[in-house]
Amino acid sequence: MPNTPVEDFYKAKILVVDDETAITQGLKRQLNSRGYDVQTASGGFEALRLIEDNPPDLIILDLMMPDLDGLHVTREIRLKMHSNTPIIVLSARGEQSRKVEALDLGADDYLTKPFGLDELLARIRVALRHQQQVGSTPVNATLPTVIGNENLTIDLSKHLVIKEGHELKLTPKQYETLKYLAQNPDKLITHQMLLRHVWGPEYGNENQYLHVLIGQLRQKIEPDPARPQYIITEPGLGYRFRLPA
Amino acid sequence: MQNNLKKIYLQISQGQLAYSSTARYRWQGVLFSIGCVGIATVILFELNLALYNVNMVYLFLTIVATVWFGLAAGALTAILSLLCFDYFFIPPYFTFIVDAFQGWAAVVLFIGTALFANQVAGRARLGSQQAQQRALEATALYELATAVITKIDQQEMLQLVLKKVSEALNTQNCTLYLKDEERNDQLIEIARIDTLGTPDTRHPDVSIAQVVLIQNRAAFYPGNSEQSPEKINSAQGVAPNTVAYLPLIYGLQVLGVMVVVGPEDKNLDNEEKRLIQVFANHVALALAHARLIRESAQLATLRDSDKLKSSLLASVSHELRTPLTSIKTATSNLHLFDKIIETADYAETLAIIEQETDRLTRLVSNLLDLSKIEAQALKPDFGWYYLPEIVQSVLDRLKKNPVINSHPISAVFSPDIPLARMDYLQLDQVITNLVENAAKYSPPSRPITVEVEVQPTNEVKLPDGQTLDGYIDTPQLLLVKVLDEGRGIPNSELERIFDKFYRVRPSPGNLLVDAPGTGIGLAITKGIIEAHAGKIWAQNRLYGGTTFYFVLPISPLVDNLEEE
Repeated sequence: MPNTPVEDFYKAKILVVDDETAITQGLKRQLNSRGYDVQTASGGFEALRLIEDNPPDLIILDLMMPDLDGLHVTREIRLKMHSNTPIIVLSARGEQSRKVEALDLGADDYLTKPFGLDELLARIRVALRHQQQVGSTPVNATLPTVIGNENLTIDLSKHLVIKEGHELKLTPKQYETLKYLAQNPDKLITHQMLLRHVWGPEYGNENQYLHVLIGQLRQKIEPDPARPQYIITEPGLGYRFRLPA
Repeated sequence: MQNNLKKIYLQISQGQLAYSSTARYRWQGVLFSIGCVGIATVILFELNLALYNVNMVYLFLTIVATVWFGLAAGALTAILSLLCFDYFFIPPYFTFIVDAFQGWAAVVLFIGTALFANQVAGRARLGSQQAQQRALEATALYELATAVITKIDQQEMLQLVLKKVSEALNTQNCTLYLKDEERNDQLIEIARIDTLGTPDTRHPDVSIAQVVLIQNRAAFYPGNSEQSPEKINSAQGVAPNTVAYLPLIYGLQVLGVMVVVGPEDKNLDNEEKRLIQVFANHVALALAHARLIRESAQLATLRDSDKLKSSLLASVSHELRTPLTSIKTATSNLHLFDKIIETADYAETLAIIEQETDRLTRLVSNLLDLSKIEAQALKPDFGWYYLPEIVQSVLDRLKKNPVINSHPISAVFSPDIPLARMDYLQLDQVITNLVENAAKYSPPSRPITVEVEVQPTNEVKLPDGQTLDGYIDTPQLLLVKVLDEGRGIPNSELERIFDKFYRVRPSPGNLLVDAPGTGIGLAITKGIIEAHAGKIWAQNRLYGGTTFYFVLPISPLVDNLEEE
């Protein structure tokens, strides 16, 4: 099933936080069998204690917990501990607003229960890879200056976007949006993150601007806007940039 | 005279009950008596008529006075007539002396006839007056009853009823207190009619009403005594009772209290008290009537939800049990496999568990969605999306399902589709439901098509020929069609398929309806589309198959995206 070698992140330490032991134990067994080193916590307070004692490489965090919920834990980790350990939040269906809140607080990704193991493993890989890139390179040093494939190339140093050999005319905001998404491949970028980055910190709820802008951008870069390949919609949450293989 | 009559008539026609109007016209009666007796005497004297004619004329005047102005005026006229008769017409003339037997007979006869005629005319007058009052009461009660029956809304009905009472009794204020439904002995003001005039500072008083409620007995009070203390001391030494507090009694219960503040310094007589009581009875009936209507509506709702629950159980329990049974069987098999391992079987069993779990998951989320729609809590998380993207992603996903992929599925998008305001996930669900439905109810290999286009709102027609102008207030809309080539839906059931738990009944020509289902999918679909201010309907196609249509409004977009 998994085609990326696990060895890349061999013995990556993962903390699974959920008040359901069936889930923590199940995930522990499955992730152990994939070569990850798994710790479990059954509540928010326990999780925070474990993170402090033995910082993990990645946290899988349930949003709904009786003692201290996932939102609080995320806030503690990001704002008090100043840790940017990747966090994948788990939520039940219909908790869209909590999910958005967690992502805006700095969670990296989400999964909706019930989810498949493949899906979880894929998200873990993306989050760890992203973390490795950010963590192993000094800021601004070796960020790639050209992103893309043979059909679409974004040249960050020249501020150029080339589609099938032709330069695209993008407005500054379209370019900025595309650049921000492309610099974070496969990572979920929330509406709020995009709005703040492209329009400015005082923005955050003007999703309509963003949707319209993404619509225009897709008209320019996607071969078929009804089947977007590069900019993937995460309904109600944000967008993900993906380079087709 | 004519004027006076007109006044009385006007007053009556204005809906007031002219009970003691006689009193107000007493001085006019005196004037009438003196005037007409005087004039008649002069004329009679000049004409020098026979004695019996003179007698007749005076009698006639007496009766007229009684009928028009009451007994007192009649008696006065009779006495004046007698004096004039005696003085001018009975010899010896110009004296009050009567000497001849002839003269005595005339005088005695006149007195006797006048008194008797006076009595009869007076009774007739009283009778007609009472009849008029009864007629007015009857009209007022009739209007009251009409108001009770025709107004559905309780508040509106009570307001109208109170208005009628206030008009009929010519009140300054009329107030209705009802028992609070939670705290049973507390009164709350429910309706109030104030007419012009100095407002009474003390009535209506809710604490008096409270006592009346508890004692269940009518009470009468003097009105605005602060404003007119001298009136209390004057006349009978008692202030006139102008305020009435009446319990509204229905059966053994007291529903509330009605307060009537009558016109100032006019004592409520027994007749008026009786009338107020009649009105109070009617208001009580009206209240009971309103409560019955409310209760029967609640009952109907309860009955509906009861019916809903039983159809839910009937349709869902089977759907819930089937996957559970499969999973249970599969896990038991896995236990067996511990002893006899066959990899192919193992994988197949796992696949069953997975597939059935997905089915259960879908069913449970459908039920949750349905309960949200029921509770009107289905709030779309609106964003601006390109509908073809959603359609395409649904089709790409569904094509992985072999049953659905046995149909050639195609999508047609007109080139000019703008972004529209929608909830991505909910629209995903709508398209999924409609396409799955099309696949379920049409034979394999028959094509399914999804079309998305932009249409002017006034050009899209519903099956009944109506346009969508009333439903959608934007000039343009997105029209989505999902076309299949199945057996179609009986025309009589086209509207009902969107009802909760409704399944098309199997019929000899329609064998495909045995497909499993709960009758939830389309109800959710409809709920979602309506939460988007859109509309959904279905129509049979001319040459077989069904088309599901839905429309969504296209709101104008912001275009000041880039202000640099």
